[in-house]
Amino acid sequence: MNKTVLRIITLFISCSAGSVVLAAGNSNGISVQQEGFNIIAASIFVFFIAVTLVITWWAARNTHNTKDFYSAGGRITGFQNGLAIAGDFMSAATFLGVTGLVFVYGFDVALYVLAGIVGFCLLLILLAEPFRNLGTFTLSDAVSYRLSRKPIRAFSGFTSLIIVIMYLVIQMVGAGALIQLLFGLPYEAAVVTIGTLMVIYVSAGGMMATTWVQIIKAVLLLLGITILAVATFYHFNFSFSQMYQQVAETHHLGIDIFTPGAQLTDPLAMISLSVALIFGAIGMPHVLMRLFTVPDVRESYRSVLYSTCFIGYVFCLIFFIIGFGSIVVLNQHPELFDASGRLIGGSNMVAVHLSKVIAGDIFYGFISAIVFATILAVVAGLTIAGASAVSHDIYASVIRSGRASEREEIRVSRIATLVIGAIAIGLGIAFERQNIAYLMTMVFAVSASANFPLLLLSVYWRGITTRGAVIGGFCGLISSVGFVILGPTIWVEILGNESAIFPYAFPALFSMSIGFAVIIIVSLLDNSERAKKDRETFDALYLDIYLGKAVKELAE
Amino acid sequence: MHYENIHQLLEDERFRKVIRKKQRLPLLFSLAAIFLFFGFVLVIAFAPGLLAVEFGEDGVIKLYLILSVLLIILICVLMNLFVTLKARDNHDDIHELIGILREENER
Repeated sequence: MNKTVLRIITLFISCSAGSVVLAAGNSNGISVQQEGFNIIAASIFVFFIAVTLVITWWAARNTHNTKDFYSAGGRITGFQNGLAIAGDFMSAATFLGVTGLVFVYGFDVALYVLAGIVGFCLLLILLAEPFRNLGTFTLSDAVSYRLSRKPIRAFSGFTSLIIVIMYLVIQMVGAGALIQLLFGLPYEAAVVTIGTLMVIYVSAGGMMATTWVQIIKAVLLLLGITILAVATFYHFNFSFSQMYQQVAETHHLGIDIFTPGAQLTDPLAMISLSVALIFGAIGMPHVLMRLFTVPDVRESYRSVLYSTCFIGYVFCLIFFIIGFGSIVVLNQHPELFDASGRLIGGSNMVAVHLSKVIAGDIFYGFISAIVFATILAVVAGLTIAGASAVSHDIYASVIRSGRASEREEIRVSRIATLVIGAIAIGLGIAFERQNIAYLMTMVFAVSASANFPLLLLSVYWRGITTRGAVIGGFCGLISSVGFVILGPTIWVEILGNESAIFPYAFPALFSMSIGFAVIIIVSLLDNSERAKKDRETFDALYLDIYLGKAVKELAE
Repeated sequence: MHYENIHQLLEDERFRKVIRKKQRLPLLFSLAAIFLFFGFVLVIAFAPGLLAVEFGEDGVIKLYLILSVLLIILICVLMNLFVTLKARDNHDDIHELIGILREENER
């Protein structure tokens, strides 16, 4: 196997070198929109790829069984895993998107920041212990622990896969456009490069490679953001009062930039958005999967704790310094805006422009490379979550009824990785220049409405039954997707109808309530034999959660 | 840790009581986090004027900004406290109950 991996890697390096040269040739005199070929960014990024491929090669040599493949053999420490979880959460959309949102809306963005952190807090408190002790590789392990395996696994494998693919498409489309802008690489080449690299990381190195790619990226991101924040703060002589004074003078909203504004007027819409952000973050399969890469519960607590601190730190810097600072700094550079007064490259480019004007070309190259690395690490994490949903949940448990050998399971997950990679590349290219903002809403709504009620009730409520879980889960899934389609983002903006059938852009509050309500009602009405068994095993579940699976095995 | 009669333990009313007691900590802490966050959100939504108090010599730093930082810090502290309490908890109740049951069986 190692030989194959090596061959793929060599092949890829020659390919990517080729495309870089191609891009360099292309960028001479190409449209003004592109920044042209960025040699510093490219060298840092090629270095990043080289390091991660060496790690992948090393990880491939150490990946022998399913435990190695899905959960890095449980050999990641709490601190490392904390970095990796924070890395999963801090996608390019978070770093660039949040900075851009503060640039435009000011204080209103605090809601996103806080909701993300509260989501992690609840993940640690409610799910870390039961999931870590009940599960082995995926979130379905814990959910199907006392319910009937096949239907539950089929359902949660399916929702995990949907979430992963939608999330991947968002990342691919954003990445293609961004890399086109930063590196002067054609859109398709950028999407194919990212897709190919993520397939190599995941199929060869499994969770071990994916985790280390994520860790390296997280460290780079923390470093980059810290430098950017210090440089920005230096611009204002390290004085908040001076900085915010100038912000109020520069921004067209004036002093109101610091108070809740237009984005936060409708209380119900605001609560619904918060619900999506908090409970959506908890239900993400690629984040939950990371609970299994550490040796025990204590380490998984530690990893969520570390990750929350990293995320809190990064958000504070982005929100209070970089975001507000960019309002003043970028407005001092009229060359960054086009004729109609819009920022070149859109609000996603705020952080990147800022790095250039405040710390020069080398740092700009560094930040660009970090953005590329960020995208790469996040898509790799998503891909392994998707591949394990296919191989571990759907193939091994549902199709083969648990009779698949480890080798077979790993082979299936490698094939799944390839297929998911191909789908992501295909859809990424198909959706170029499409408005896909609704996909993000949908991902979080599905995660909060189809996954979260199931996760919570399966470990905290005695009464849940298999039938209730599956029917309620499907209702959550259908209502979250349906409400987004009928809501203002798709029904009005994309399909061009007069007014939305469902009035809220963020339906999570409603679809999640439907998910919970249906699970509870159907479970209460369920009188089947299976339901009796589901309820009776609740106490045994807790014995396993608190004393670990070992006790039960010993007793038997 | 080994106990001969798992079924006896599972059916004992005292075991259910222990589980309920153990569930209390996560439920309490998650309610606290949710309460803090949605309390902030609701104040912003319904009474934005309440938090518009100004700080600093120029009056640009509003109470909102300070509260958001405090909230982030508070949630990190909450998590830390939870993990500390959880570590102290250390499954003692179940071990104790198993000990009691074992003694009862011997008698």
